[in-house]
Amino acid sequence: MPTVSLDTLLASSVMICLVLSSMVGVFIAVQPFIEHQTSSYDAETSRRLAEYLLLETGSPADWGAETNATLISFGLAKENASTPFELDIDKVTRLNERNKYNLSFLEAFTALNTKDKPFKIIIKPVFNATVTLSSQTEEASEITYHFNISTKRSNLPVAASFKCYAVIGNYVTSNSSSTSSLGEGSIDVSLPKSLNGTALLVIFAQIEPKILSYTVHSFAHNSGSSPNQAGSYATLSPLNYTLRADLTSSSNRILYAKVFTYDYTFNLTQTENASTTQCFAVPKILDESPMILVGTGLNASSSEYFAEWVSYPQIPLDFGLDFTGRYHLADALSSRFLVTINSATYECKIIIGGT
Amino acid sequence: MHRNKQGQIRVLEAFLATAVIFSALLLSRPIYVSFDSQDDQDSLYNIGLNVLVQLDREGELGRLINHRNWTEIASRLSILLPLGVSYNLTVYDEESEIINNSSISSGDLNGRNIISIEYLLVDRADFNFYVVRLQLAWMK
Repeated sequence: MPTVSLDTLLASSVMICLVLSSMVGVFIAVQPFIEHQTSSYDAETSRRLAEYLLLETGSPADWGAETNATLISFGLAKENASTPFELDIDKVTRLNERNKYNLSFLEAFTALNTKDKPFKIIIKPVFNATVTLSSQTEEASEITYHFNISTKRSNLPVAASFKCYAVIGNYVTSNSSSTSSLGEGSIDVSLPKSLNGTALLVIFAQIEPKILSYTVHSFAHNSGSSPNQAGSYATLSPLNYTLRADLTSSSNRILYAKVFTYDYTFNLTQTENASTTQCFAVPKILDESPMILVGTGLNASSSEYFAEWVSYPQIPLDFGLDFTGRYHLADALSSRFLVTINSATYECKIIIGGT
Repeated sequence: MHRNKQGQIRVLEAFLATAVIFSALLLSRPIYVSFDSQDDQDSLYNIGLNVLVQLDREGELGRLINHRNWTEIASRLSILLPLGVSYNLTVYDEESEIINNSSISSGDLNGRNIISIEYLLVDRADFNFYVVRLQLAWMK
C-alpha cells in the first residue's frame, strides 16, 4: 500500500474519531442545559406552589375555625390579611397532629389538588430558647429555683430579653432578664412551700419586636415525685380562641386555666364542663407574642397539683411527608419564608417533592 | 513525494480540528457553571423580597428610615436573613440620592454573584417616599 493511502486512511480515521467525539462532547455539554430547562421549570413551579400555600386562604376561607366544614382547597393565609404571608392562627394550629381538630395530610394533599407534588410544612420560631434548672435554695416559707437560659439561632448564640412566669396551681410569679451576646442568661423564681406538685416555668424570649420564641419547663416543687408527663392528666387543644381539655380521668379536673403572653397574663373563663371535657374561652390579646395556655388542677389521689400546657398557635409543627424516609426519597425543593401569625414572626420551611 | 506531504498535512489538520473542538468544549464549561447557579439566585431573590415585606410590616421599615436608625435596620436584617447570606442595603430618597450615611451591610459581597432587589416604600407618618435596594449574595 502506498504511503499516501496510509496517510489518507490515518487522516480519515482521525476525522471519524473527531466527529464521533465532538458529537459526544456536544451532547455532554448541551445535556445539562436541556435538563436545566426542565428542572428550572419544576423548581419555579414548586416555589410558586409554596407561595400559594402561604398566600391563599383556601376554601372555605375560614376552614381553620370551622371544623365541620369540608376542606375544598388548601391554603394557610388569614382571611382579609393586611400583609402578605400573614397566616391564620387556627389553620396553622390544625396542622399540629397533637391538636384534637388536626387536619390529616391526606385531606390537605387532596384539597391542594396537585397529585404529583407531595409536600411538608415546618413552622418554628426564628430562634430557640432552652432552659435548665441549675440549683434550688430552700428557705423557711419558699423555695427559690435558679434556671439557666440560653438563646440560639441555628446553634449560634443570640442576645435576647426574656420574661418568665412560674405557675403552680393558681399561683403565678413573674420575672424578667436578658441573655448576653453569648446567648446565656439566668433567672431566679420563688414558689411558696404551702403548694406542692408540678410547677411550670413559661419563658418568652424576644430578640426584636415581633420576633419571639418560647419554652416551657416543668419541674417538681416541694414534692418527692417527678413532674407529671405532658398529657398524663389532660390533652389541651386550642382552636377558634377556645381551649378544649380532654381529661384522661373524670376525677382529675382542671381547676385553673390561664393564658400567658410576653406582656400579659389572664385567667380563662370556663364555658363548658362535661365529665371528660372542659372548655375555656381564650381572650383575643393584641400582644405581639405567641400564647401559652396552662391548665392546672389537683390530683385526686395525691392532692398534689398537676399542670398541662399548650401553645397557641400550636407551634413548632412538622406537617406532611417525611422526605428523608426510606420509601419517600424523592427530589424535593425547599423554600424558606418568614410568616406572621398573630402579629409575631415565625420561620416557615416548605418542602415540595416531585421536582 | 509531493502526495506524501499532502497526506501529512491532512493528519495535521485533523489534529488541529480536534484541538479546536476540545478547547471549545473546555471553554463552554464556565458558562454552564454560571447558568447552573441561576436557581440559587432565584431562591435568594425570593428570600430577600420576603424579608423586606416582613421588615416593612405595618410601615416599620419606613419608620426606621425616617428616624435614620440604620443600626436597627442592620440588626433586624441580620436576624431575618438566613445564616450564610451577605447583604448590603442602600436607601434612596425621591431624588435618587443615597440617604444612609453609614453602611448597612454584613459580610463581603466582592467577587460574588449578587442579586439586587428594589423595594419602594412610603413612610406613613410623614409621607416620605423611599427606594430601598437590597443586594444579597451567598457566602461560599
